[in-house]
Amino acid sequence: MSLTQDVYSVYERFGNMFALDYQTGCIYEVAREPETEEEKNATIYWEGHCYTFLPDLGLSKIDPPHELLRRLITKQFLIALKQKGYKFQADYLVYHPSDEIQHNQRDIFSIFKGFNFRTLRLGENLFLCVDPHLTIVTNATLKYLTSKCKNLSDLSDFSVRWNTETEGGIDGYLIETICSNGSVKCKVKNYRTGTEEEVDGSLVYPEPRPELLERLITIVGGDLSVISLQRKLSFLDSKEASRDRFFETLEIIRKLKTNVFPIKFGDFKVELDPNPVVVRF
Amino acid sequence: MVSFLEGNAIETEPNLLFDSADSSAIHPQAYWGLRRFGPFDKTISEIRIGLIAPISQIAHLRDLIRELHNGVPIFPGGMQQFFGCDLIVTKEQTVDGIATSDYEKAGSNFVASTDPRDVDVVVSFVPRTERYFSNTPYYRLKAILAANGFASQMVTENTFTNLKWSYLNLASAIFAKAGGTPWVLQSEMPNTDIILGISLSNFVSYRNRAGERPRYVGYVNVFDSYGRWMFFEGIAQPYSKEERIKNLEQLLLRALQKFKAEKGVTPKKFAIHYYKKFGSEEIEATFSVLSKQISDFKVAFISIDDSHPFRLYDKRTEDGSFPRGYYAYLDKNEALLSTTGFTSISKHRMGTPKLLHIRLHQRPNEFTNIDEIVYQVLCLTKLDWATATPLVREPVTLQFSREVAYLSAAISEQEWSYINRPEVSTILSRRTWFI
Repeated sequence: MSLTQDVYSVYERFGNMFALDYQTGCIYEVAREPETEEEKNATIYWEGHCYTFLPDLGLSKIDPPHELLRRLITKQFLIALKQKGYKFQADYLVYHPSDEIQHNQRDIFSIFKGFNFRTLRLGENLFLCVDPHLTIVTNATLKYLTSKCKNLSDLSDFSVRWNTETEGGIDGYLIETICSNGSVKCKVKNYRTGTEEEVDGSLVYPEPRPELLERLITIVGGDLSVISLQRKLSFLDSKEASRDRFFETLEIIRKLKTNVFPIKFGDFKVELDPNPVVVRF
Repeated sequence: MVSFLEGNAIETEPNLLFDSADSSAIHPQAYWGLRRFGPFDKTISEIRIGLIAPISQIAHLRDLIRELHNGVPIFPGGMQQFFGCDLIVTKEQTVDGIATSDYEKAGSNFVASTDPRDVDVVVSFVPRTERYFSNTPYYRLKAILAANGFASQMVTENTFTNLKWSYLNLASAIFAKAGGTPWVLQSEMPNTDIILGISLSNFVSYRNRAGERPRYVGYVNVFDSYGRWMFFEGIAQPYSKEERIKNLEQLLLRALQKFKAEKGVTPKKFAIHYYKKFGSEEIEATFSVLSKQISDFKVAFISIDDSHPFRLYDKRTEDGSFPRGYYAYLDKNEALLSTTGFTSISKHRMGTPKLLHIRLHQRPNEFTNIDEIVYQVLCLTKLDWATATPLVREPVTLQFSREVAYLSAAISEQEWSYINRPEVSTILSRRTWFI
């Protein structure tokens, strides 16, 4: 945190936005469809056109608008995070597997200290906004829960996600869990199509919501308040919640600066300024 | 290199008014204003209460109503002192168990044997459940009662364990659900004749329609320039997502006609609050429908979003929170407002302020600015009649929309249609039945 100490001692009010200082390289409008993984990673689609920093793919060199640069840098940041082992729960919710919090119900769920982020333009400058965020991942399938649960009717009436080979994860509502001849089937309603389906219980996971996981842990005879754990880890029990969250943010930025930045692609080089934006009145 | 955001502050809490006939009956806090002046609306002298509870809890509910009526040390003088009215229990219904089905049965028995014109508010004891779950006694009973024209107030075991702080909140909610106006803003908000809190695509419950495509409901809560909630207007028939623009037009038209009929004037300056960014289709549809009705009007499309990671901090405050009423500009028409940070009027803070990201778009031309809109939003955080606490995060436009959204997930399409049929909406549309 040494770089921020001076800023912290001089100023009083801060935002969780950190400048992205970048050395601009060349950008080209794309002449042909990107084919390889490398080409796809180097290309973005914006306002009806494709742009890349790879000269071989490019048709003509352009003077990139700030918004195009923001999108390009955001994509390269995402790629850099993945390369460093970070995982994504949603587009902007990130965690690293090494940041898992230990608890005694890991058969049901895992919880990680991660962060939520956005890139944004303020005037002509680019910023990375980072906020600490807990990520909860459900580990227990409905098949597993059925093996631990006495009353099958408890395993119904909540949101679930199931894995498919063709469409990836699908969200839906669990209408009923059926156990017969050793197999577990889930009658689910697909949120996307509105249709009812029957899915193998080994592919179905409860939605990773603290309220639901807490109820399921009670149902299977476990003992852990997920809501209390979440509150504690979210600084809700702290008397200095804002201060704690701010320092945790600075720690995330320190790690990103050390482990992920600078990001280099084409002739570009992007650095992360560890000083938070200052709010002045 | 240090980067800067420009900031600004609303240093003084907006005052509230507690008497429609006395402009000096003002105070920035609901508790002290009600205790000293009574409610804004002094026309309600009696509220008739129906009780629904398991046998083991019915006596507790009676005691609670008696304490609200007579008063307790934190609520001296009770309903008469704070709201100028009496509470009278006129009907009781017991529940056989604590399962959702037990409450559905009790609710059905209650509505079958009671005329909604004979009971102003139903107070019910329900087991405490998380909001995440919709198939619960709380939501199912509330839905059944609303579908039959009854406003309801639920209490749980938590209410009794924290009763000291619940008396005024309960009393205020009961008064509002009986059709009263507890308080309004002392001053009109600038450049605003009418405020609409809209919601277009909340799920209506999956119940009774497995296998069909998801259906949505639309509704609007309408407020005047003093932030006074006026009425609720909903589209009776659930619709598919593709029909939302057509339904937006219908909602706006009905809200405008009702506002004109009630106020006797045609509003010219509209503020429309939405919990997410307005799409161009929504903006064009709004402009188009208003153009057909009014010759000279202006609209401020105000999106108020909290699903972002932006945070602001202030090391001068004891917990590091960015003070309530302080804000930072992201752009000329964009600001981040803190509503739950440090404030001298409340010590009860929890967590880090979740900022409101406010974005303004104006049509056909500029008539207000982001500072006025930030002030408007802060004012509207003081008008949720379900809570008298001074630290409310969301403006009432969004808060009320959220309450209806939770309910719509527990209500069947048929029940939603019942709520919006004329004989029921005549009773409910002027009561904040959903809070």
